Amino acid sequence: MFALSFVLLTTTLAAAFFISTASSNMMQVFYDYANTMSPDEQGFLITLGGLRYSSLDVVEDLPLDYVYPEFLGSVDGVDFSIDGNTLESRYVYAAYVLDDAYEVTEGIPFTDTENSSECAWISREIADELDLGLGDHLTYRSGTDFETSYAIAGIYNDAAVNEDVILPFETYYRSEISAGRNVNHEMYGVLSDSRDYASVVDTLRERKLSPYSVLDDSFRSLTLIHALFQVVFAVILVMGLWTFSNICGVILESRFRFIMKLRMLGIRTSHIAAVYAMIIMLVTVLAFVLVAILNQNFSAFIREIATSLYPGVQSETVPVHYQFLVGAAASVVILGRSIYRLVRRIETYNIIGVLEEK
Amino acid sequence: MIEVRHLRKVFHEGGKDICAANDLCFRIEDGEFVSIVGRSGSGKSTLMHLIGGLDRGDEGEIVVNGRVLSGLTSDQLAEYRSKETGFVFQAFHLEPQYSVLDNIRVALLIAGVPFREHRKRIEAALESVDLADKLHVRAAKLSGGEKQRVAIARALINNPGIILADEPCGNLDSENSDRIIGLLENLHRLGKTVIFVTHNGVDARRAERVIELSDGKMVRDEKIRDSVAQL
Repeated sequence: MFALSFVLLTTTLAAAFFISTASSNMMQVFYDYANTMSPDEQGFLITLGGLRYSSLDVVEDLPLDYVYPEFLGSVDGVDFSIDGNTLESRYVYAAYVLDDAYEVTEGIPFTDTENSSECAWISREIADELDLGLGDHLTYRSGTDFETSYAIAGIYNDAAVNEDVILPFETYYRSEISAGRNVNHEMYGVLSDSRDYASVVDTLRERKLSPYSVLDDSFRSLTLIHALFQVVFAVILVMGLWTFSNICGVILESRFRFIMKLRMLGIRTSHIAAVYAMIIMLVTVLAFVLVAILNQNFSAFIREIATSLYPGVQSETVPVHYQFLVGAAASVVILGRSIYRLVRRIETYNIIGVLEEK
Repeated sequence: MIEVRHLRKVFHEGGKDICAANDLCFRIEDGEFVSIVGRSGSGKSTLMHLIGGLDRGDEGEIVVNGRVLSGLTSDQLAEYRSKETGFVFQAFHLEPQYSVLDNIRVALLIAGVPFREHRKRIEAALESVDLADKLHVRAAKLSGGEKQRVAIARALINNPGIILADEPCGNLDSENSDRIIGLLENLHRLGKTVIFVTHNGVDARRAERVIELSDGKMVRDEKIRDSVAQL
């Protein structure tokens, strides 16, 4: 009977752990996939809605690798002029970085450093139209009385887009602050690890920001499914241990007369409880060991399936330490209850009463 | 010495209170050979169970060799049963699927006797009950008389000072009954205190003292002879 109970226990434990492992590994692969999602593939991108460039200290303590304004944002409410002539209907942008769509064919590469202070880059189109070249100055007027000038440091081809003038973001930012105006470009943060997403989002909301990621819905759905799977894991685990405990109780019941004979001969209740505890612990430990071995292989199998959905993603097998801790704790409680009930029964029942039952 | 002081035990069955031991007072000296007689329901077996530590009285005391049984913990009572008493039942209470050897070995294991001593002691005990050739026979295959002799060997195995036998001949024919009572006499001759319950007046008078119970009270306490040991 103990052999049968061992098989039943192993089967239910395996089912519980497989469910938890499958979910955990899928989540792991998804997190690893999310970590590859960013323009420069260095980490997971999160929009920090409502964060001002001047308030970066608000997110200083968060696990963000770095924070930067949107790569390219339009500049509104400013006037550019050449030699006193205002450039009408021109598209002006401030940029953090420029990608390969903007090939700088003259001058220095676009950069947003100290060296690019007071510099601007213009498109080939506007350079040809207005006969502008490197070193020419554009006058920048913002607000009611702020005015400054920028030297043209580079000319780029932008055949596919309409950015006429691009300023380095820092340059633009300092100018607007000097003009007494706010800079409202969208801010982005690169999370060190996508696994921090939920906690970072919660913190940002507490700080009155509006975080967003393109994977929001996916995160929410997967997290909910993962949580449900863990609940199912716990339910099956407890049910399996409970059933095993009850089977052990049935086995004991079938041997209760024998136990009372031993009591008649002088065995201590604690000795009976110790032997019983040893047997059920041995069966339970063997079951967990077997499940751990099976789970290792199952985990690898699930990871292969999951990574096939996200080619190129490298992912480690998820250790299941906490599930085993939960299992151990549940075993102690449920099987401990079984041992306690045995002890109570032995102490309560009259030896002769049991022995002389027909 | 066994001293029973104002012992009282009441069972509650079917809404009625049954007084199995009603203010019993008596003393049994070391090495006495005592039979307890009485009609069914007189409290004979209850008294044996109380002396043997298999049950606890509701009032009064049983003092065995200076120890008050009612003051013992469950574990202390278990040790008392293991080392100071040997119990023999009418129903034998052997494990049928175990061999004679293993049925007796259980008592040695419980008493904590080292394993290397088991075989020698079991063989000696079986020799004393004339069953040395049945060592490896399963208990289920023994006759009634043989089973009871194995039970006696098991009761003796830890060399207790007190042997308690509750209707040891209840399931046996006259020949086997005679044999069993003879074994009890031998144990008495070896200096053990032997107390046995019987319905059979003839068997009862083979003891040196007869105590008669009726409705939980002692109605007779008669010394039959000075000592069977001297016979």
